[in-house]
Amino acid sequence: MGNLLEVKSLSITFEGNQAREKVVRNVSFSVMEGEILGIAGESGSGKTLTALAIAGLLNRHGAVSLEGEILFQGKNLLTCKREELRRYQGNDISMVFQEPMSSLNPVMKIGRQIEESIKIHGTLSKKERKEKAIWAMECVELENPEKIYHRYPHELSGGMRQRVMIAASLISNPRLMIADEPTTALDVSIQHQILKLFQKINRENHTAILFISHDLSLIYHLCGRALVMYEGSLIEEGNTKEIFYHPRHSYTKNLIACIPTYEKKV
Amino acid sequence: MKYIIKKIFFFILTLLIVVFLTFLAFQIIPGDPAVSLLGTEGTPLKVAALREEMGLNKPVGERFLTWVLNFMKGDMGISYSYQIPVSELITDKIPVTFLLTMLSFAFIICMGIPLGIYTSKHAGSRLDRLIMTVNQVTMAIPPFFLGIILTYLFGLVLKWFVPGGYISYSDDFFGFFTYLIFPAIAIAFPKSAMVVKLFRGSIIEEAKKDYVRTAYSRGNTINGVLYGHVLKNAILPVITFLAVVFADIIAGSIIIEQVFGIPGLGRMLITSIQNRDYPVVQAIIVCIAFVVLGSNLLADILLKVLDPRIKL
Amino acid sequence: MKKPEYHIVFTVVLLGVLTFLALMGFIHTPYDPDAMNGLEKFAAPDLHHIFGTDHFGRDVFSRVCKGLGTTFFVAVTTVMIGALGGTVIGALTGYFGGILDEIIMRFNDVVASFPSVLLAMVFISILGPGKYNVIFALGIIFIPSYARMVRSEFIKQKNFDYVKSAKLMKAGSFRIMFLHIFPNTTSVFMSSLAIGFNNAVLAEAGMSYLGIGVQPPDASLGRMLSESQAYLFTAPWFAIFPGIVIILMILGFSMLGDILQQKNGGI
Repeated sequence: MGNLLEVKSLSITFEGNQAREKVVRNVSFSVMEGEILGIAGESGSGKTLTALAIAGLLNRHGAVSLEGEILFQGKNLLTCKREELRRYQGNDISMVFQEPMSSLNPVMKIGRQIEESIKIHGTLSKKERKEKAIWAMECVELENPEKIYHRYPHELSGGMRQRVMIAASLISNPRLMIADEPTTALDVSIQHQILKLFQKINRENHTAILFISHDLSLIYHLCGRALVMYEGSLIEEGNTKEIFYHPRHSYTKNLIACIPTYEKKV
Repeated sequence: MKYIIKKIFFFILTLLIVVFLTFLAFQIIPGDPAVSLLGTEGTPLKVAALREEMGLNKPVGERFLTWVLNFMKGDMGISYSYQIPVSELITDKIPVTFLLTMLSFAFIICMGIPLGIYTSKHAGSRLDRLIMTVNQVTMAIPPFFLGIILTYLFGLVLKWFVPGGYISYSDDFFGFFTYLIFPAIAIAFPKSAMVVKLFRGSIIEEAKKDYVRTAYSRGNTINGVLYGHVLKNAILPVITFLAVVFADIIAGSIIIEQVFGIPGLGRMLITSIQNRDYPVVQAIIVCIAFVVLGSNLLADILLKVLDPRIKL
Repeated sequence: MKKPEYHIVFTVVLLGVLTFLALMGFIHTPYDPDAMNGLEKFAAPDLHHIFGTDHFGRDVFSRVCKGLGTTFFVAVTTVMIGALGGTVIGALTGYFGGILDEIIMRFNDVVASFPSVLLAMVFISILGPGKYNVIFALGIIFIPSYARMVRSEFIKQKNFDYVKSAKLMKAGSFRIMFLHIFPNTTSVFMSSLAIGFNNAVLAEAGMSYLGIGVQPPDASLGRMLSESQAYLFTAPWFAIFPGIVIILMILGFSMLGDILQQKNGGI
């Protein structure tokens, strides 16, 4: 399997009025077609910024400078024109955000939000788009998709909203799905269901998933390979099991020690 | 639907309360309406007869009820100073004030909304800063002073219109319409500056929210995000404000009619206040209350349509 | 961030100058504002009369100062009545809640949805025009908006821990309301004072323009504007200077309100 995404010595710097702060330092890694890659690290470690950079969502803020290369299917997303980048967004690369509460537009119907990316990128008719949206909702195991199609975000529970987010990001059948802490805001029981969903999407649609979490145990369950980030740098990379049982870095050891013991025996 | 019915119920209830309060306010004024109505011809005998005829001997509650019922039938009482029915006095004034109000409102929307969008899109640019500085000053101009300036500039210096040369709508509708343009601008200008400021701030606030990032992640263009997502959220506080503005326009039109010599409801109100012609004052106040509360009701319904989160 | 500071300097200087002019109006003006001079009718602005003279040959600058003084007086007293009444009602209803709160607030909502000029006209038509009637009418009309603001602040604050601990220490309700909660609402309160001041200025000027506000011999900026209108072509300065002073006053206070609001939001 080839590399779908290659990140080469990516650095992200915030340009303040006086101070410049480098928040991601020289990070390189790659995502292969159809794999689930995990990125672990505490908040402020730069994992979310890395994800946003890949999704092309950082250049909106003028105060951020990006160095290095982000190659998606060989194309450098950091230097290509906005119009070209836009053609990847929501089409080949889609995102699932942490806050299902605020990441959905409160005054737009669920159905329209789910089908937005195929409306932007595709040529399907209104009816076809609706069919596809219903299919996506069935994929994420939302009950009564026809009904939910006409609902508004505030009428759904947190778990349902996250399913909607996932449905909206899988509808275009992307090559890469970036999930930034998708389960953090949810109850533990729902977390588990959402993880299963990612596995299913990966298996059935052959979508590569970049799964970002501060919770190493989630990554252990879901991902074949994983990275660990600490204060903007990549400190560990490799097979998840290997990282888990033979951590090289002391920070990783601490991270593993934080997981309740019964989990480790799995 | 339930929401709208409830809102309409409250609208009627508040209208009744307002009407009752104005009625009560004019009851406690010293002086006898019968004496006022008869003026110099008032002999004690005539006054007593008229009191009987007007039902002034009956209790307040009953008088209020008859007054409301008569009002709904279009009988608003008799003017003290003109000795003719109030309804006759005000019916041909209503279209004047109505058109002035609508024209001002249209100007506010046409200036405030596009400028709000433009400045928020280019926030921080030189032109944005220039517009916002001008805007801040514009907000501070009292409409009647702007009216005076417009009269001086366009009426006396440039001679685009004849100050005080009001043309009745029954004589020449086009002339009437064009005469109202400058008064409407005088009312609309400061208010539209407020709309620009509010709308710009609201758009900028909304643009920081998480759902905007989601919208970008789906491949939306900047305009796609703005028109497809942000505006529908950002307009909500503006709608509430526009209801307030509408009420303010009516109050503003009272003064502006005086500046430009337009014989509308406002002018009638002022002369009636000066002449203590209470039946007229009362009738005009009730008409205005109806419009003010009605615009609030409309805004509430519009908000409910646009924002599914609103519950009663 | 340099811009906001220019903002503040400009606002302070502007309000300082206006206050100075208003004080001049109370204490000493270059000419007697009411002294008529038939020889100097409609004199254009020059070194003697920097704002020119009016149709009676009176010095417009002196009259503007005096009118500004009147406007300040009316606005300050109006806001004081409104704020005091509103604070008491808002504090009581917000702190205690209950059915009385419901009724008063519904009433408040109705009153607050009406333009203040309009309500003031109703009062004036009953009381008759004049400076003190205007103050009384506007003051009463401003009460609901302050009551609304203070009430919502009190509802927010009364659930905070510091209020709960004060209650545990058996502090009296009034002590809690005015010694504990009220100081925490000042930033919101101050910016609403500035907004109220502007509304009062606008309402007073508007009513005086219509001839149902401040009456002669009291000078008033609004009244000057209505007198000037007949002579607009011969003596535009007679209209322009009082108008500009009103604009500057409203501009100054609205900027002050913005600054106070920003300070409040920034914390």
